[in-house]
Amino acid sequence: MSPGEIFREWRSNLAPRTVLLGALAGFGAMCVLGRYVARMDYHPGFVRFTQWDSPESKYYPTVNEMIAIVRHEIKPGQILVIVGGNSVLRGVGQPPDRVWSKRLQETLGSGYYVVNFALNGSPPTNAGGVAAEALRKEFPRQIYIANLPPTQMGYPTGSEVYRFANWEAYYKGMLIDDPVRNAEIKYSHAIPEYYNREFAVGELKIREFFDSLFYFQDFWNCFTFTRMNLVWGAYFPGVTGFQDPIRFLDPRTVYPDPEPDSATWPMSARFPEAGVPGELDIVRGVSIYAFNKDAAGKWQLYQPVWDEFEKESSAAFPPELRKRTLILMGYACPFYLARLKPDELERNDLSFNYAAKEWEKGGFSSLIYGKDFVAEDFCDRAHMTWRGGQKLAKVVAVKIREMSQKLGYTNP
Amino acid sequence: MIFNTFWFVLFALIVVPAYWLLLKPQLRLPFLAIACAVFHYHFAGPAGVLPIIFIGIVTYFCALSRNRAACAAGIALSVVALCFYKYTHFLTIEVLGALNAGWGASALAAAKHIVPGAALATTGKETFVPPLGMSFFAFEFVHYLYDVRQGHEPIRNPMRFMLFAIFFPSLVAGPIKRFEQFQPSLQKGAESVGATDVALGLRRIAMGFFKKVVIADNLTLAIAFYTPPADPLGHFAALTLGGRWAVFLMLGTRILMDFSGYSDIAIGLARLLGITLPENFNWPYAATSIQDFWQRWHISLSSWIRDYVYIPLGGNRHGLLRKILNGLAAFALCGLWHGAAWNFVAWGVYHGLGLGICANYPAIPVLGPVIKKLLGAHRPFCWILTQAFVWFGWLLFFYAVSDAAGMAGLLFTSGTAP
Amino acid sequence: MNSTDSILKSRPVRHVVSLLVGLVVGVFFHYLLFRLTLPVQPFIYVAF
Repeated sequence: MSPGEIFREWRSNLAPRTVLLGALAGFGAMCVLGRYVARMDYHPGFVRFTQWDSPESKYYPTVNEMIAIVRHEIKPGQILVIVGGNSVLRGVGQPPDRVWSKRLQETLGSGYYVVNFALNGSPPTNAGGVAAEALRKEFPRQIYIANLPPTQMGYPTGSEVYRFANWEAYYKGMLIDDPVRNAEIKYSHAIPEYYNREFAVGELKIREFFDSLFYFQDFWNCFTFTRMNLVWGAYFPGVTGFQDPIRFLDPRTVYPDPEPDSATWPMSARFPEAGVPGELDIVRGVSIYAFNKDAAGKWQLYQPVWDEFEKESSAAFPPELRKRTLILMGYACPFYLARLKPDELERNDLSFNYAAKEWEKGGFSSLIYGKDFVAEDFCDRAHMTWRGGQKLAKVVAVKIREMSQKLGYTNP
Repeated sequence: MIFNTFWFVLFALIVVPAYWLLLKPQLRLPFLAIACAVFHYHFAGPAGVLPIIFIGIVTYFCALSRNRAACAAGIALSVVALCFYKYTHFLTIEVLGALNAGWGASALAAAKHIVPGAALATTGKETFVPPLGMSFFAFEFVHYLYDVRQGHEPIRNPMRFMLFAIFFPSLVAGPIKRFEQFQPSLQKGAESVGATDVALGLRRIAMGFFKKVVIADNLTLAIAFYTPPADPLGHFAALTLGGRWAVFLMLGTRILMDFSGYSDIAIGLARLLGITLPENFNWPYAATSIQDFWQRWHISLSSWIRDYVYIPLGGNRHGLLRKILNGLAAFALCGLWHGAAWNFVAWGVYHGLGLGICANYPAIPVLGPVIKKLLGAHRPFCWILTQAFVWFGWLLFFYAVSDAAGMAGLLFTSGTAP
Repeated sequence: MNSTDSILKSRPVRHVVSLLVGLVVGVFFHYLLFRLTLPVQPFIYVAF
């Protein structure tokens, strides 16, 4: 018989009920394995998320992954400090051995365990924020750090890219059932800019509901990260793709953290003249809607913006989470601030100070940083070199110790 | 796409077991009809459902009347609707506009008032959003009315007609069904779906998803990365010679895996319900002639084109020249069916020409029989020739004609210009 | 009748092969759930 005939003969001789039994058994076994793997830490020596284990390369780190990292690394008695937020706190521009969160750990000492779960472009309510909430009962002595510009908060489920983890945690029963937050989520799904995404949000919710039953995200993330890359479709020239087809299947763990040391970049590369107008618009944009000039030319609060901010920030975080949440607000690089007009600088200062008061009023902690930094501390408008990161770590450590005392984690 | 969404997985997990558990055919078929309606509404939306309901009702009653003129009118309605939704921009701007840009723009503006509720695409060129599966609906309704007009018995039961029209496994991307094969299969499935059907269906679905999700979707991303839509030729030229051949091979692999994968999923889903859909692909890259290729590739479409375009045009009944012209016209339409752009027409004509030559070269005096004898003795050479023809044709399918020509040239030079 | 025929007709072998095929299908469906509608296209970060 030819190979084709043998193949067709085998195929037609399969016992259907046995095939079905095998399919159910296979699927069931994967679900069990998924639950087992969900408790494994397969990020040994975790420093921070990189391109290779983030949505930038279609890898979606689960809440269970973050929880497993914490459980594996934290020592008994340590206060848990979770760094969330965006690329600024992830340490873009800082090499992995000099990332600011490592410095924070060194400064705080062995009484604390600092873990960096920040992801590029992530609002406070995504990524690390979800992990912190999910760990609140197991590690009640915790502080969660995130960053935002003044007046910005956004939706409780955060950005489209990262809200998969929020729904994962929701369907796995890890989140607080807060009626104010639930109402805000429902409301946000009804407003026009969300409408076109309704299908996507619906799909996401069904996906995460299924994941709470079948645990496929955890199992296949682990397989992709440690055994063989099974998630393709993100091509980085020179690293993956046809330049080196074998590496296409390499487990994600083989790829090192690619973040460069931006402290070695010349200043002209960090702050190109051609980009200055655009960057200045962004710097102004931080405060442009928060204050208006009155007839006498003095800056006055534009209340609707601050009312919206208050509403969003209180809906995003249930009350019991607020007191352990530290929001960092960073001044832009002095290279750009120096190019603002005096009244724009004044408005900028007013926005930061008023936002800090708003956060405190809402029960949060906040910290403004960067006002005394120099241009060399930055590698662009917002991201810092490792030198800037060290300065950040120093001031944040002071604030964390203060919060720990206030929250009763440590004695005065 | 639709099968690889979670909503569909949830839908299938509810509908298919419920269908099995409803043991009686009298319950299964109405339940399936409702499920198909829910599926159609969810994915098509009101703008996509209403035109199909209208055309479907007209088709149903035209067929019931068994009046030849009514059937012809029904056929015309389906064809006009397909042209309106899918080809308005092409016919106005590309065809009429090629003669006079002002006429094209005026015709497009006028067309927007014909069906006030027709949804307009919000991105890219100004065109209507066709109802989901419009091409497949049109082809199945035309086939149905044509056969009824020829004397075949119409479907009298409205629920069974509805199931033929919006059968969810094949609604989106085929295979194109023939009603006289589908009706008995529907009945058989409702009466006797069993473990064998389920096992075979699941295996077929798994194979289809493997082809689509694991192979085709990733090749699509790779192709888009190496030849982005903004400047495919420029990026292709920047690749090494090996890279260009890799992309070339990806194109042919991707389209087979995509199309056949989707067909496998559709056939497997129907099989879960005990229903047999027609096979659509039969190892097309094993074809040793163009005729053989079209008997293996998108079989339901090529047989439809043969039965409802080529043969009604006269087929091979009016001499060699007419035969070739009919073939060209049929394949040009086949190409146009795939997309409303000139490169699809070019691809269709390319295959029409190839088929014309393949089918008729033995008739060339002296040389014809000699070539036929030579080719007959060297089957591997026939295979290479056929596959080279098909695979180079994919360049026309995916890229504008000028880009495709440039890329074909670049496959034989390591320089940056063909 | 050759040895391939006799193997194919053997009940235990038939069921073992069937079970293996089923297992592969089941594992693949689990993987498929993972690959379906991954939340977004690759989010290529641009500094902001």
